[in-house]
Amino acid sequence: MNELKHLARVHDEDLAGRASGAGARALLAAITAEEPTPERAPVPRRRTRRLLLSAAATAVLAAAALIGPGLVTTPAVATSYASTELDIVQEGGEWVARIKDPYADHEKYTEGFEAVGLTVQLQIVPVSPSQVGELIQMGMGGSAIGQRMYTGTEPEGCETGRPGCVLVIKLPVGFNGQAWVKFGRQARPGEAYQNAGRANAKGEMLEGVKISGRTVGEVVAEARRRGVEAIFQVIMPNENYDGFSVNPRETSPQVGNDWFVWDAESARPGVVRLLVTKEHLPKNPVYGDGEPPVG
Amino acid sequence: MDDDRTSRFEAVYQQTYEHILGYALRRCDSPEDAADVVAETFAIAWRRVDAVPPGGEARLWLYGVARNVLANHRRGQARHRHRSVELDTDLADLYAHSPETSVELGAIARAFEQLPEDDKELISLVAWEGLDRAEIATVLGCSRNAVRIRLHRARKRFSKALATAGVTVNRLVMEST
Repeated sequence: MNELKHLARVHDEDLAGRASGAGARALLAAITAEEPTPERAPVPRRRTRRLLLSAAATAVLAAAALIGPGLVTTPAVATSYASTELDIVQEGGEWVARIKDPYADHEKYTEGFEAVGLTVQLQIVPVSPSQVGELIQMGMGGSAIGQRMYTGTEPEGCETGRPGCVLVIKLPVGFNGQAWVKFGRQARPGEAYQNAGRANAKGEMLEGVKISGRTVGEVVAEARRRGVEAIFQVIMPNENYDGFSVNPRETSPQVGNDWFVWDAESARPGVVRLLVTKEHLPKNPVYGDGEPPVG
Repeated sequence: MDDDRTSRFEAVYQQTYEHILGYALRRCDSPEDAADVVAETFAIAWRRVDAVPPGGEARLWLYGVARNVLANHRRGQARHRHRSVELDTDLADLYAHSPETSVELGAIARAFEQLPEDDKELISLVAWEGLDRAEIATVLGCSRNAVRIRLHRARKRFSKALATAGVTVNRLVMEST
Protein backbone atom coordinates (compact mmCIF):
# COMPACT_ATOMS: atom_id res chain seq x y z
CA MET A 1 0.00 0.00 0.00
CA ASN A 2 1.51 3.20 -1.11
CA GLU A 3 -0.09 5.83 1.09
CA LEU A 4 1.81 8.71 -0.40
CA LYS A 5 0.72 7.82 -3.89
CA HIS A 6 -2.86 8.14 -2.73
CA LEU A 7 -2.17 11.69 -1.66
CA ALA A 8 -1.51 12.64 -5.25
CA ARG A 9 -4.39 14.39 -7.00
CA VAL A 10 -3.73 12.47 -10.19
CA HIS A 11 -1.21 9.96 -11.46
CA ASP A 12 0.48 10.32 -14.80
CA GLU A 13 -1.35 7.20 -15.97
CA ASP A 14 -4.68 9.00 -15.43
CA LEU A 15 -3.54 11.63 -17.89
CA ALA A 16 -2.93 9.30 -20.81
CA GLY A 17 -4.11 10.90 -24.02
CA ARG A 18 -4.15 14.44 -22.62
CA ALA A 19 -1.17 15.39 -24.79
CA SER A 20 -3.41 15.21 -27.84
CA GLY A 21 -6.40 16.85 -26.15
CA ALA A 22 -7.80 20.30 -26.93
CA GLY A 23 -6.00 21.98 -24.02
CA ALA A 24 -2.61 20.58 -24.96
CA ARG A 25 -3.07 21.46 -28.63
CA ALA A 26 -4.11 25.02 -27.81
CA LEU A 27 -1.08 25.49 -25.59
CA LEU A 28 1.30 24.06 -28.16
CA ALA A 29 -0.09 26.36 -30.81
CA ALA A 30 0.16 29.41 -28.54
CA ILE A 31 3.75 28.70 -27.59
CA THR A 32 5.10 27.87 -31.03
CA ALA A 33 3.34 30.91 -32.51
CA GLU A 34 5.72 33.03 -30.51
CA GLU A 35 8.97 34.10 -32.09
CA PRO A 36 11.57 31.74 -30.66
CA THR A 37 14.06 34.17 -29.24
CA PRO A 38 16.34 32.05 -27.12
CA GLU A 39 17.47 33.39 -23.78
CA ARG A 40 15.07 36.29 -24.01
CA ALA A 41 15.20 38.50 -20.97
CA PRO A 42 12.42 37.38 -18.61
CA VAL A 43 12.55 40.68 -16.72
CA PRO A 44 13.76 44.08 -17.92
CA ARG A 45 16.44 44.17 -15.25
CA ARG A 46 18.31 41.35 -16.83
CA ARG A 47 19.18 43.20 -19.99
CA THR A 48 20.59 46.00 -17.94
CA ARG A 49 22.64 43.68 -15.79
CA ARG A 50 24.03 42.00 -18.86
CA LEU A 51 25.08 45.32 -20.28
CA LEU A 52 26.80 46.19 -17.04
CA LEU A 53 28.71 42.96 -16.90
CA SER A 54 29.85 43.12 -20.48
CA ALA A 55 31.44 46.52 -20.06
CA ALA A 56 35.11 46.52 -19.38
CA ALA A 57 35.82 48.85 -16.51
CA THR A 58 34.08 49.75 -13.31
CA ALA A 59 34.07 53.43 -14.24
CA VAL A 60 32.15 52.67 -17.40
CA LEU A 61 29.76 50.51 -15.44
CA ALA A 62 29.05 53.24 -12.97
CA ALA A 63 28.28 55.62 -15.83
CA ALA A 64 25.99 53.08 -17.46
CA ALA A 65 24.17 52.66 -14.22
CA LEU A 66 23.57 56.38 -14.06
CA ILE A 67 22.17 56.67 -17.57
CA GLY A 68 19.96 53.60 -17.39
CA PRO A 69 16.35 54.29 -16.43
CA GLY A 70 15.32 53.22 -12.97
CA LEU A 71 18.78 52.14 -12.07
CA VAL A 72 19.53 54.59 -9.33
CA THR A 73 19.88 51.83 -6.78
CA THR A 74 22.00 49.52 -8.93
CA PRO A 75 25.47 49.47 -7.42
CA ALA A 76 28.55 49.72 -9.57
CA VAL A 77 29.61 46.23 -10.55
CA ALA A 78 33.15 45.00 -10.92
CA THR A 79 34.30 42.41 -13.44
CA SER A 80 36.64 40.70 -11.05
CA TYR A 81 37.17 40.34 -7.34
CA ALA A 82 40.09 39.26 -5.21
CA SER A 83 40.43 38.82 -1.47
CA THR A 84 42.27 36.48 0.86
CA GLU A 85 39.18 34.26 0.90
CA LEU A 86 38.24 34.05 -2.76
CA ASP A 87 38.97 35.27 -6.29
CA ILE A 88 36.34 35.78 -8.95
CA VAL A 89 37.22 36.33 -12.61
CA GLN A 90 35.60 35.90 -16.01
CA GLU A 91 36.96 33.06 -18.12
CA GLY A 92 35.48 32.04 -21.46
CA GLY A 93 32.03 33.46 -20.88
CA GLU A 94 31.78 32.23 -17.32
CA TRP A 95 32.22 33.64 -13.88
CA VAL A 96 34.80 31.50 -12.13
CA ALA A 97 35.05 31.79 -8.36
CA ARG A 98 37.97 30.12 -6.63
CA ILE A 99 37.54 29.70 -2.89
CA LYS A 100 40.97 29.75 -1.30
CA ASP A 101 39.89 29.73 2.32
CA PRO A 102 37.09 27.25 2.99
CA TYR A 103 37.13 28.13 6.69
CA ALA A 104 36.25 31.79 6.17
CA ASP A 105 33.10 33.46 7.48
CA HIS A 106 30.32 32.79 4.96
CA GLU A 107 29.65 36.52 4.73
CA LYS A 108 33.03 36.99 3.07
CA TYR A 109 31.96 34.82 0.16
CA THR A 110 28.65 36.64 -0.18
CA GLU A 111 30.49 39.97 -0.27
CA GLY A 112 32.81 38.74 -3.00
CA PHE A 113 29.97 37.50 -5.19
CA GLU A 114 28.04 40.70 -4.58
CA ALA A 115 30.99 42.77 -5.73
CA VAL A 116 30.68 41.28 -9.21
CA GLY A 117 26.89 41.46 -9.19
CA LEU A 118 26.14 37.83 -8.35
CA THR A 119 23.73 36.66 -5.65
CA VAL A 120 25.35 33.50 -4.41
CA GLN A 121 25.15 32.15 -0.89
CA LEU A 122 27.98 29.76 -0.27
CA GLN A 123 28.31 27.74 2.88
CA ILE A 124 31.21 25.41 3.46
CA VAL A 125 30.27 23.17 6.35
CA PRO A 126 32.12 20.50 8.35
CA VAL A 127 31.15 17.00 7.23
CA SER A 128 32.27 13.48 7.98
CA PRO A 129 35.23 12.18 5.93
CA SER A 130 33.27 10.35 3.22
CA GLN A 131 31.50 13.59 2.31
CA VAL A 132 34.48 15.94 2.25
CA GLY A 133 34.60 17.75 -1.07
CA GLU A 134 31.05 16.65 -1.86
CA LEU A 135 28.34 19.04 -2.86
CA ILE A 136 25.80 18.73 -0.05
CA GLN A 137 23.12 21.04 -1.32
CA MET A 138 22.63 23.36 -4.23
CA GLY A 139 19.70 25.38 -5.43
CA MET A 140 18.73 28.29 -7.60
CA GLY A 141 15.95 30.79 -7.51
CA GLY A 142 14.72 33.97 -9.13
CA SER A 143 15.40 34.14 -12.84
CA ALA A 144 18.04 31.41 -12.65
CA ILE A 145 15.62 29.07 -14.41
CA GLY A 146 17.38 26.68 -16.71
CA GLN A 147 20.83 28.12 -15.99
CA ARG A 148 23.63 25.84 -14.98
CA MET A 149 26.08 26.07 -12.13
CA TYR A 150 29.27 24.06 -11.96
CA THR A 151 31.08 23.12 -8.78
CA GLY A 152 34.35 21.27 -8.47
CA THR A 153 37.85 21.51 -7.09
CA GLU A 154 41.34 22.38 -8.32
CA PRO A 155 43.20 20.07 -8.46
CA GLU A 156 40.27 17.88 -9.37
CA GLY A 157 39.08 15.50 -6.65
CA CYS A 158 41.08 17.07 -3.83
CA GLU A 159 39.68 17.33 -0.31
CA THR A 160 38.21 20.71 0.49
CA GLY A 161 39.81 21.95 3.67
CA ARG A 162 43.27 20.62 2.89
CA PRO A 163 45.91 23.23 2.03
CA GLY A 164 46.18 23.82 -1.72
CA CYS A 165 42.73 22.45 -2.51
CA VAL A 166 40.65 25.19 -4.11
CA LEU A 167 36.89 24.99 -4.43
CA VAL A 168 35.67 26.24 -7.83
CA ILE A 169 32.20 27.53 -8.69
CA LYS A 170 31.30 28.53 -12.24
CA LEU A 171 28.23 30.44 -13.38
CA PRO A 172 27.37 31.81 -16.81
CA VAL A 173 28.15 35.49 -17.32
CA GLY A 174 24.78 37.21 -17.22
CA PHE A 175 23.54 35.02 -14.40
CA ASN A 176 21.14 37.18 -12.44
CA GLY A 177 19.18 34.77 -10.32
CA GLN A 178 20.04 33.54 -6.87
CA ALA A 179 22.06 30.47 -6.13
CA TRP A 180 22.98 28.73 -2.93
CA VAL A 181 25.60 26.08 -2.48
CA LYS A 182 26.49 23.99 0.53
CA PHE A 183 29.78 22.20 0.29
CA GLY A 184 31.45 19.76 2.66
CA ARG A 185 34.88 20.36 4.12
CA GLN A 186 37.03 18.60 6.68
CA ALA A 187 35.93 19.20 10.25
CA ARG A 188 38.24 20.69 12.80
CA PRO A 189 38.87 18.63 15.93
CA GLY A 190 35.72 18.62 18.07
CA GLU A 191 33.61 20.35 15.43
CA ALA A 192 30.22 18.62 14.98
CA TYR A 193 29.47 17.37 11.48
CA GLN A 194 26.65 19.27 9.83
CA ASN A 195 25.86 16.35 7.65
CA ALA A 196 26.27 12.97 9.25
CA GLY A 197 27.53 10.18 7.05
CA ARG A 198 27.22 6.45 7.61
CA ALA A 199 29.95 5.66 10.11
CA ASN A 200 30.96 2.36 8.47
CA ALA A 201 31.29 3.85 4.97
CA LYS A 202 34.67 4.00 3.26
CA GLY A 203 36.85 6.62 4.89
CA GLU A 204 34.67 6.90 8.00
CA MET A 205 35.60 6.01 11.58
CA LEU A 206 34.11 2.52 11.54
CA GLU A 207 34.98 1.73 7.92
CA GLY A 208 34.04 -1.82 6.99
CA VAL A 209 32.54 -2.72 10.38
CA LYS A 210 29.30 -4.69 10.28
CA ILE A 211 26.83 -2.79 12.43
CA SER A 212 23.31 -3.98 11.77
CA GLY A 213 21.83 -6.29 14.40
CA ARG A 214 24.95 -6.53 16.56
CA THR A 215 24.91 -5.79 20.25
CA VAL A 216 25.88 -2.46 21.73
CA GLY A 217 28.69 -4.24 23.63
CA GLU A 218 30.21 -5.60 20.42
CA VAL A 219 29.99 -2.38 18.44
CA VAL A 220 31.26 -0.21 21.30
CA ALA A 221 34.22 -2.57 21.78
CA GLU A 222 34.99 -2.38 18.05
CA ALA A 223 34.76 1.42 18.20
CA ARG A 224 37.00 1.58 21.24
CA ARG A 225 39.66 -0.52 19.48
CA ARG A 226 39.71 2.22 16.85
CA GLY A 227 39.86 4.97 19.44
CA VAL A 228 36.31 6.07 18.69
CA GLU A 229 33.73 7.06 21.29
CA ALA A 230 30.10 5.96 20.91
CA ILE A 231 26.99 7.93 21.81
CA PHE A 232 23.46 6.62 21.50
CA GLN A 233 20.13 7.43 19.96
CA VAL A 234 17.25 5.16 20.90
CA ILE A 235 14.95 4.56 17.97
CA MET A 236 11.31 3.47 17.99
CA PRO A 237 10.56 1.20 15.05
CA ASN A 238 7.33 1.67 13.15
CA GLU A 239 4.88 -1.14 12.65
CA ASN A 240 6.40 -3.98 10.63
CA TYR A 241 9.82 -2.43 11.32
CA ASP A 242 9.49 -0.25 8.24
CA GLY A 243 11.01 2.99 9.36
CA PHE A 244 11.42 4.40 12.81
CA SER A 245 11.03 7.53 14.86
CA VAL A 246 13.25 9.13 17.46
CA ASN A 247 12.81 11.37 20.42
CA PRO A 248 15.60 13.90 20.01
CA ARG A 249 15.15 15.11 23.60
CA GLU A 250 16.32 11.72 24.80
CA THR A 251 20.01 12.40 24.40
CA SER A 252 21.61 10.37 27.18
CA PRO A 253 19.59 7.19 27.44
CA GLN A 254 20.60 4.32 29.69
CA VAL A 255 21.68 1.84 27.10
CA GLY A 256 22.78 -1.65 28.08
CA ASN A 257 25.53 -3.66 26.42
CA ASP A 258 22.89 -6.23 25.48
CA TRP A 259 20.89 -3.72 23.41
CA PHE A 260 20.98 -3.83 19.60
CA VAL A 261 22.51 -1.49 17.04
CA TRP A 262 20.86 -0.83 13.64
CA ASP A 263 22.93 1.95 12.18
CA ALA A 264 25.85 4.21 13.06
CA GLU A 265 26.32 7.85 12.03
CA SER A 266 29.45 9.94 12.27
CA ALA A 267 28.65 12.68 14.80
CA ARG A 268 31.94 14.57 15.06
CA PRO A 269 35.60 13.61 14.75
CA GLY A 270 36.20 10.67 17.09
CA VAL A 271 32.51 10.19 17.94
CA VAL A 272 29.87 7.97 16.35
CA ARG A 273 26.17 7.91 17.11
CA LEU A 274 24.64 4.43 17.35
CA LEU A 275 20.95 3.97 16.56
CA VAL A 276 19.79 1.38 19.09
CA THR A 277 16.78 -0.54 20.43
CA LYS A 278 16.44 -2.56 23.61
CA GLU A 279 14.81 -5.52 21.87
CA HIS A 280 16.19 -7.48 18.99
CA LEU A 281 14.15 -6.83 15.85
CA PRO A 282 13.42 -9.29 13.04
CA LYS A 283 14.27 -6.63 10.46
CA ASN A 284 16.47 -3.52 10.38
CA PRO A 285 14.05 -0.56 10.63
CA VAL A 286 16.57 1.82 9.05
CA TYR A 287 17.12 -0.17 5.89
CA GLY A 288 13.94 -2.28 5.77
CA ASP A 289 14.24 -5.19 3.39
CA GLY A 290 17.40 -3.74 1.86
CA GLU A 291 20.77 -5.11 2.87
CA PRO A 292 22.40 -2.72 5.38
CA PRO A 293 25.50 -1.43 3.62
CA VAL A 294 29.02 -1.98 4.94
CA GLY A 295 32.07 -0.11 3.65
CA MET B 1 15.94 25.60 -39.64
CA ASP B 2 12.87 26.95 -37.83
CA ASP B 3 10.95 23.89 -38.97
CA ASP B 4 13.58 21.71 -37.36
CA ARG B 5 13.22 23.59 -34.19
CA THR B 6 9.45 23.33 -34.25
CA SER B 7 9.38 19.61 -34.94
CA ARG B 8 11.94 18.93 -32.28
CA PHE B 9 9.93 20.92 -29.76
CA GLU B 10 6.73 19.18 -30.76
CA ALA B 11 8.35 15.80 -30.20
CA VAL B 12 9.52 16.82 -26.73
CA TYR B 13 6.08 18.27 -25.99
CA GLN B 14 4.24 15.09 -27.00
CA GLN B 15 6.63 12.96 -25.02
CA THR B 16 6.55 14.99 -21.81
CA TYR B 17 3.27 16.91 -21.69
CA GLU B 18 1.41 14.40 -19.52
CA HIS B 19 4.32 14.11 -17.08
CA ILE B 20 4.69 17.86 -16.67
CA LEU B 21 0.92 18.27 -16.42
CA GLY B 22 0.90 15.61 -13.69
CA TYR B 23 3.78 17.30 -11.89
CA ALA B 24 1.94 20.63 -11.88
CA LEU B 25 -1.47 19.18 -10.94
CA ARG B 26 -0.05 17.36 -7.95
CA ARG B 27 1.55 20.52 -6.60
CA CYS B 28 -0.95 23.25 -7.40
CA ASP B 29 -4.13 23.92 -5.46
CA SER B 30 -6.06 25.31 -8.40
CA PRO B 31 -6.39 24.49 -12.11
CA GLU B 32 -5.41 28.10 -12.92
CA ASP B 33 -2.08 27.73 -11.13
CA ALA B 34 -1.40 24.37 -12.75
CA ALA B 35 -2.16 25.82 -16.19
CA ASP B 36 0.28 28.68 -15.54
CA VAL B 37 3.02 26.29 -14.48
CA VAL B 38 2.58 23.96 -17.46
CA ALA B 39 2.37 26.86 -19.91
CA GLU B 40 5.40 28.68 -18.56
CA THR B 41 7.48 25.51 -18.34
CA PHE B 42 6.92 24.70 -21.99
CA ALA B 43 7.34 28.33 -23.02
CA ILE B 44 10.81 28.20 -21.47
CA ALA B 45 11.53 24.91 -23.23
CA TRP B 46 10.51 26.54 -26.52
CA ARG B 47 12.90 29.42 -25.97
CA ARG B 48 15.68 27.07 -24.91
CA VAL B 49 14.92 24.12 -27.13
CA ASP B 50 18.61 23.71 -27.97
CA ALA B 51 19.33 23.13 -24.29
CA VAL B 52 16.73 20.37 -23.91
CA PRO B 53 18.58 17.06 -23.65
CA PRO B 54 17.51 14.18 -25.91
CA GLY B 55 15.50 11.10 -24.94
CA GLY B 56 14.30 10.42 -21.42
CA GLU B 57 16.51 13.15 -20.03
CA ALA B 58 14.14 15.73 -21.51
CA ARG B 59 11.50 14.87 -18.94
CA LEU B 60 14.02 15.36 -16.08
CA TRP B 61 15.21 18.66 -17.54
CA LEU B 62 11.61 19.85 -17.74
CA TYR B 63 10.91 18.79 -14.14
CA GLY B 64 13.84 21.01 -13.14
CA VAL B 65 12.38 23.94 -15.09
CA ALA B 66 8.87 23.26 -13.74
CA ARG B 67 10.24 23.24 -10.22
CA ASN B 68 11.73 26.72 -10.68
CA VAL B 69 8.57 28.00 -12.36
CA LEU B 70 6.52 26.69 -9.45
CA ALA B 71 8.85 28.30 -6.93
CA ASN B 72 8.52 31.65 -8.71
CA HIS B 73 4.79 31.16 -8.86
CA ARG B 74 4.65 30.63 -5.11
CA ARG B 75 6.66 33.79 -4.63
CA GLY B 76 3.91 35.61 -6.44
CA GLN B 77 5.80 36.02 -9.70
CA ALA B 78 3.13 34.28 -11.72
CA ARG B 79 2.94 34.68 -15.47
CA HIS B 80 -0.32 34.09 -17.23
CA ARG B 81 0.73 33.81 -20.83
CA HIS B 82 -0.37 31.16 -23.28
CA ARG B 83 -3.45 30.29 -21.30
CA SER B 84 -6.55 29.35 -23.25
CA VAL B 85 -10.15 28.43 -22.57
CA GLU B 86 -9.38 24.94 -23.85
CA LEU B 87 -6.50 24.41 -21.46
CA ASP B 88 -8.43 25.85 -18.50
CA THR B 89 -11.43 23.62 -19.23
CA ASP B 90 -9.19 20.60 -19.58
CA LEU B 91 -7.56 21.19 -16.22
CA ALA B 92 -10.66 22.29 -14.33
CA ASP B 93 -12.10 18.90 -15.17
CA LEU B 94 -9.17 17.23 -13.42
CA TYR B 95 -9.84 19.17 -10.23
CA ALA B 96 -13.50 18.17 -10.20
CA HIS B 97 -12.79 14.95 -8.32
CA SER B 98 -10.99 15.07 -4.99
CA PRO B 99 -8.38 12.42 -4.36
CA GLU B 100 -9.36 9.47 -2.23
CA THR B 101 -9.62 10.48 1.41
CA SER B 102 -9.71 8.63 4.70
CA VAL B 103 -8.94 9.60 8.26
CA GLU B 104 -5.52 7.98 8.05
CA LEU B 105 -4.69 9.58 4.72
CA GLY B 106 -5.79 12.93 6.11
CA ALA B 107 -3.35 12.56 8.99
CA ILE B 108 -0.57 11.52 6.63
CA ALA B 109 -1.36 14.48 4.37
CA ARG B 110 -1.17 16.88 7.31
CA ALA B 111 2.14 15.44 8.50
CA PHE B 112 3.46 15.70 4.95
CA GLU B 113 2.26 19.29 4.60
CA GLN B 114 4.21 20.29 7.69
CA LEU B 115 7.53 19.14 6.25
CA PRO B 116 10.01 21.69 4.92
CA GLU B 117 9.40 22.47 1.25
CA ASP B 118 12.63 20.77 0.14
CA ASP B 119 11.73 17.55 1.97
CA LYS B 120 8.28 17.49 0.42
CA GLU B 121 9.70 17.95 -3.05
CA LEU B 122 12.27 15.17 -2.63
CA ILE B 123 9.74 12.70 -1.28
CA SER B 124 7.24 13.70 -3.97
CA LEU B 125 9.76 13.13 -6.74
CA VAL B 126 10.16 9.57 -5.45
CA ALA B 127 6.55 8.77 -4.58
CA TRP B 128 4.74 10.69 -7.30
CA GLU B 129 7.10 11.02 -10.23
CA GLY B 130 8.71 7.65 -9.45
CA LEU B 131 12.24 8.94 -9.93
CA ASP B 132 15.34 7.17 -8.65
CA ARG B 133 18.27 8.92 -7.00
CA ALA B 134 20.25 9.48 -10.18
CA GLU B 135 17.20 11.02 -11.86
CA ILE B 136 16.51 13.25 -8.88
CA ALA B 137 20.14 14.36 -8.93
CA THR B 138 19.64 15.41 -12.56
CA VAL B 139 16.43 17.29 -11.76
CA LEU B 140 17.93 19.11 -8.80
CA GLY B 141 21.36 19.60 -10.32
CA CYS B 142 23.24 18.01 -7.42
CA SER B 143 25.22 14.83 -6.78
CA ARG B 144 23.63 11.43 -6.20
CA ASN B 145 25.27 11.31 -2.84
CA ALA B 146 23.68 14.60 -1.88
CA VAL B 147 20.30 13.20 -2.95
CA ARG B 148 20.90 10.08 -0.87
CA ILE B 149 21.73 12.12 2.20
CA ARG B 150 18.90 14.60 1.79
CA LEU B 151 16.40 11.86 1.09
CA HIS B 152 17.53 9.96 4.15
CA ARG B 153 17.00 13.07 6.26
CA ALA B 154 13.69 13.93 4.65
CA ARG B 155 12.41 10.44 5.36
CA LYS B 156 13.60 10.63 8.92
CA ARG B 157 11.79 13.91 9.45
CA PHE B 158 8.68 12.52 7.81
CA SER B 159 8.78 9.39 9.98
CA LYS B 160 9.09 11.64 13.00
CA ALA B 161 6.21 13.84 11.90
CA LEU B 162 4.09 10.75 11.33
CA ALA B 163 5.00 9.29 14.70
CA THR B 164 4.08 12.60 16.35
CA ALA B 165 0.76 12.49 14.54
CA GLY B 166 0.26 8.94 15.80
CA VAL B 167 0.44 7.43 12.34
CA THR B 168 2.44 4.40 11.41
CA VAL B 169 3.26 4.09 7.78
CA ASN B 170 5.37 1.88 5.61
CA ARG B 171 8.55 3.84 5.27
CA LEU B 172 9.51 1.86 2.22
CA VAL B 173 6.92 3.59 0.12
CA MET B 174 9.47 6.35 -0.08
CA GLU B 175 12.38 4.16 -1.01
CA SER B 176 14.29 4.73 -4.18
CA THR B 177 17.22 2.93 -5.67
